[in-house]
Amino acid sequence: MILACSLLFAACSKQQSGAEPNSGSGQGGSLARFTVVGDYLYVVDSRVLYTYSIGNGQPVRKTEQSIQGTTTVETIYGYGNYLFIGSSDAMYIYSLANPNSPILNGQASHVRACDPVVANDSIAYVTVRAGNTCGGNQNALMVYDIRNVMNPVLKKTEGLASPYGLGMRDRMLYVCDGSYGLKIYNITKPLYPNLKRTITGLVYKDVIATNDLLICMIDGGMVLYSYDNTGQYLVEQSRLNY
Amino acid sequence: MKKTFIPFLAVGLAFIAGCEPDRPYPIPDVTDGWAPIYASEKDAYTVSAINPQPPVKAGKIYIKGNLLFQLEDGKGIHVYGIANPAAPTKMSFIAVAGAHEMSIKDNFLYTNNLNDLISIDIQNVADPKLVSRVQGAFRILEQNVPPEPGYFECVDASKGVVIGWERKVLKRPECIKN
Repeated sequence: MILACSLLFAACSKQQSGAEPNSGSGQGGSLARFTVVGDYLYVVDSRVLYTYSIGNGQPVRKTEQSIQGTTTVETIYGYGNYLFIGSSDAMYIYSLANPNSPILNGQASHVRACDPVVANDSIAYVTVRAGNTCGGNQNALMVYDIRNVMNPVLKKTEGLASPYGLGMRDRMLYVCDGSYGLKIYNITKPLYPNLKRTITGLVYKDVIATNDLLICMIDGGMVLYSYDNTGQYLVEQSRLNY
Repeated sequence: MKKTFIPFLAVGLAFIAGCEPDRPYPIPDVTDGWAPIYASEKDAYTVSAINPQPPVKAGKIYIKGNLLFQLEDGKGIHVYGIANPAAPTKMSFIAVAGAHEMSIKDNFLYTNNLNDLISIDIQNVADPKLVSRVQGAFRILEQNVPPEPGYFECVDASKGVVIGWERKVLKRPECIKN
């Protein structure tokens, strides 16, 4: 994988938000319980990580492993050789060195909350949201240094109002803060997200950042924006079902 | 005095125990709560495309190429064409009972049909074909209890497969989720 990345450096460096950066797969948001990496589908329910090989549309279960701890798992995100799993009190990082059987590498415990994750080689962004179904009382964006995946280090906590999903592409991070809007951060300094602007008027729940479109899940449907990678240009193209 | 009181107390305890065998909560005559939504075995496990539907509980999102997908929580998947993002087209609604999740690899869409993992060939989204099914693949959905705590109408398997839950005014509900 490292070799592949070196050879295809340009392609790899563009792998971003919710990416399933394998030929043949698409791209999901950050609230997912399904993710495809290579020829494998990884699924989490509230307590278990399931690994399926999926050649030719025929899923075959490879492994099924309990996720440690007693809390509720909510999201899974694949990047490169890793799976990032968000539970109601921690983020878990699994290695896919053997894609048939992911191995827990590191974890970071945090306040009790709902917590989708996006990540790249060195940084993981996690939102934590308090509330009835999530527990806890903190609403925030948390920035982890994961250069040593065995030991993620919390570097920054940025207060939010009601965060849900998030996505990133190039040097921008997009955080859905519910009815408080879509928050766009410059992450040129990845450990120190800098809020550039907030788009309000809809209830933002999750986001997919593709090459040329920013697709947001909102209450009632979706909204599509064309955009650039500076946060300056962002123009609504259409709404679906709203 | 003591000799008359003790039998009386014993009868009283037996009476209380008989009324409330192992139910530490009262049963209200009428209350808000949850009720199961049932479907026949056939309807619960059939995958089919129907005409595009307006979303009611729009869920998670997914994109592959010019196709944009949004889950309709518990019901299926909306499919849109976004070759022109300014004018998306409604292409199909793939009805899948219990669906909340999806992912795609090549021409195969993976989703949960209740707690089964299924793959669907979506080469033609207007005519999706069920390819494979792994029964009881995971427990993404609780089919025996509602999604949130509260009183609920107990599940009666003779009425069919539970494909979801709805809020309802209940009369003397016998079940509760703590």
